[in-house]
Parts: sequence; C-alpha cells; structure tokens
Amino acid sequence: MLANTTGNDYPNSLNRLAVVGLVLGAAVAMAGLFALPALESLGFAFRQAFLVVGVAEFAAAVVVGTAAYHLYTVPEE
Amino acid sequence: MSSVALQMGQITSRPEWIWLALGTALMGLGTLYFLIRGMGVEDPGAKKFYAITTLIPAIAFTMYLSMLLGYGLTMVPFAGEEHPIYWARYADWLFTTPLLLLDLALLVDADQGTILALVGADGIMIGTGLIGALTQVYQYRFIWWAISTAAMLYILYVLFFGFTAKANQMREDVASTFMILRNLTIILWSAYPVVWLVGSEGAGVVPLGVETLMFMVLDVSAKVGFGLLLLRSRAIFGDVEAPEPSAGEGTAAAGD
Repeated sequence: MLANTTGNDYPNSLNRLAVVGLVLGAAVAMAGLFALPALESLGFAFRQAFLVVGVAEFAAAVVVGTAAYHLYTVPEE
Repeated sequence: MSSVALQMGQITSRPEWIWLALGTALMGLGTLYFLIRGMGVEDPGAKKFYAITTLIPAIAFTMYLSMLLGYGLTMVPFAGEEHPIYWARYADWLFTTPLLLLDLALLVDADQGTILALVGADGIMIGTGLIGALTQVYQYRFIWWAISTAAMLYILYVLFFGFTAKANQMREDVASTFMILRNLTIILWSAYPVVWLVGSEGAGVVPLGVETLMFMVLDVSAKVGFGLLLLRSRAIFGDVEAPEPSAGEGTAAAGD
C-alpha cells in the first residue's frame, strides 16, 4: 500500500520522530565503535568503558528497531 | 607521509588485517547496494525492511573499519598468555543481531511479546559471549560460552517452531522467503559458537588469522547475504506494489 503524498518531501504517514530515532540510533551505534579509547582516556577502565559502549549499542538497536517498526503511522480518517 | 606509512605498517603488521580489510570492503559495498536499491522504493512496508536491513551492514562496515584501524582490539590475559581479542565484534553484534531478528519477526508479523523475548535472549547471548571472551580464568570462559550458546538455541528454537508456524499461515511468497532466511540464519548462527570455541577466544585450535577469516565469511553471509535474499523478495512488499520475482524464488523454498 502506498502512503498518501501532499507534495511535501514526506508522505503524510511518515513518522518523523521515527526518522530522527533511526538517524540518532545509527549515529550512536557507529560512534560507539570508536568511542572506547576516548572513554579510557577519561579514566574509565576497559571493562567500564566497554559496558558503556555495549549498553549504548544495544540501546541504539532497540531505538532503531522501534523506530523502524513505527516508521509509518496509519493516517487518521 | 611517513606517519601514514607508519600507520599502514601498524595495520599490516597484524596477519588478519587482509580479512578485516575485505570485511570492511564487502560490508561497505553491501550497504551502498542496499542504499541505492532502496531509493526507488515507495511501499511503506518495504521501506521498514530497507531501513533495518541497510543499517545492519552499515554498522558492520564501521565495526570492521574500527577493527582494521586497531580501535576494536584489546589484550586479555588467560591460560598464562596475553591474547588479542577483537571486542568490537561484540559491540557490533549487540546492534546488528536484534535487527536481523526484527527483520524475520516483521516478515511473519510476530507479536510484540515474542519480539521482546527474542531481543532479550539475544542480549543475553551476546553479553555472555562477551563476558566469556574477557574472562581471565580459562575454564570459566567455557561456562559463559555454554550459557551464550543456550540463549542462541532458544532463539533458533523460536525461529524454527514459533515463527515457522506463523509463516505457514501467510502468503506463499512470504512463507517461502521466510523459510530460506530461517535456514540461512540457523546454519550461519550455529557456526558462530563453533568458531568461538576453536578460535583464539576458546581452545585456540585455529590461529587468529583463520578465525578472523571465518568470522568475516559468517558476518558477510549473515548480514549482506541475508539482506540480498530479503530485499530481492516480493515478500516485503504489500499487494499493490511488487517487483518481478527474483530468479529461483519459490523454487528454492520448494526444496525446503
């Protein structure tokens, strides 16, 4: 089924909050893979730093999954 | 110039660098292909699959790049020696494996409770695998491996029984695509604990270079290969907009 369009860049039913969630989640996930040395330089031990990175990655996955799940909302009648 | 050469020298001094470089390239190519392919898609349902499936190799590309550049590596002492452990794998898997499961769940229209249970089990699977990789008491590493593998078996059980029952009630193209992806996932995911066991994290039967190659082949197949099969299928589209079926679709499932 095709979403309704209004001539704007986005179809009516595109959930813009979900788009923001997708972009932010992806950005956090990508940054997290390079963040560990920076966290260690801030005084975190390796395991503490990895815990931060691991939680961030998993949380980013949940945000991205939820955002994708709600990427389109059913337009109200 | 000399600093670039020095950095390149540091990268190529690790024998597994070639497989990390190849993994980076393949994940990057997969991401680009999915991005370009997804540009013309209008169907909202299909766009969900494209968003999730494109992000999977995108993050894996970043992971391989971080490992290639040396960010994703640490040394862990166990069995009387220091061992190089690529921790970035686990960070990547914490992100990508729940999304792979979400792709399958969306395909069979699984309920939210089942999705949450699967994502929870997935977190346990990767988290305990990571604890095993970082544990310094050699014997304890295998206990964590066993817990991680048990969580994986639960996930595969849900895919094989729960999701298959749901898929059988759906359109033929959805059911056949699910069966192909399910079998691919079960085969590839089952190989990960074996590689862990024989690799440098476990018994150390195979050297780090071979282990890196094996993980790279599994990663590319489980992410890019999975995405290619899913996004080429009509199953992700609604009834209105559907491209021509890809070659072999349907027939592959017939042999299932």
